[in-house]
Amino acid sequence: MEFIVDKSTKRVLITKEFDAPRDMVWDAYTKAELLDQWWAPKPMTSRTKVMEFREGGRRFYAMVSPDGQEGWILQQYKSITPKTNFKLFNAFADEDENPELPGSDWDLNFSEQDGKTKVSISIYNESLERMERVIAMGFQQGTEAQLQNLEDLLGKLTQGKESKL
Amino acid sequence: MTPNAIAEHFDTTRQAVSKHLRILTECELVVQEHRGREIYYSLEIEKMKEIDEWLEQYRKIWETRFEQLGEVLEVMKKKKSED
Repeated sequence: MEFIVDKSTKRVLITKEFDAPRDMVWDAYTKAELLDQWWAPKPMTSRTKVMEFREGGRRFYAMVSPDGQEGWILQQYKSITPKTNFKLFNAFADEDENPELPGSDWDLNFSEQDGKTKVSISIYNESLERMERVIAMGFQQGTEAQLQNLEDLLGKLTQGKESKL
Repeated sequence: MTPNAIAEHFDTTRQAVSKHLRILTECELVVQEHRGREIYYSLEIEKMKEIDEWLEQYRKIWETRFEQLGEVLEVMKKKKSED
């Protein structure tokens, strides 16, 4: 993974290549049932309440902590070029979908080469303070390593089960 | 280093360098030391480390997220090959 913070443009650039075709990666980014499987860094979980992947549409979801606390996030889709690019406006929100400004502007690009898919994400953050909150919400330091291990184990079990079906 | 010495390393105006230095000083990333008529600036390595650690957390969120996405994609690939 490439992770660059460009302070002069207030952008964070993240690039990662996946060993999977572009269609699949695109689906993983745009379908709620798939997004919820990976979006939240463990031990957090992601719970999507509204998913309308279309220009002008939105994803409204909660990041849920192990003790059940919800942090709501609203993502509004600004433009979509199927399988290639989409842009969204990301903001913290209350449980009634009222966004808290400022938010951040995301630009996501997908490209495939030799069966591998490169995802490039550019996030424009107006304030550093906001980035701090992202960290507080998405990453709970010193959290139960055991819980994560359990999740890993469960993940493997489900994987095994699914491949048998 | 003096502001002039610092400015020599950048393709920008002396004013711009001073402005950056002022902000860096406010953030305690550099410290000033007055020697006669000159001001010398030096880097606070420990503070820089703090920033680095802070950014590391942000990087880690994405790393974990992508690891998980990788696992999801593996499951998707398996399913597809069985269809």
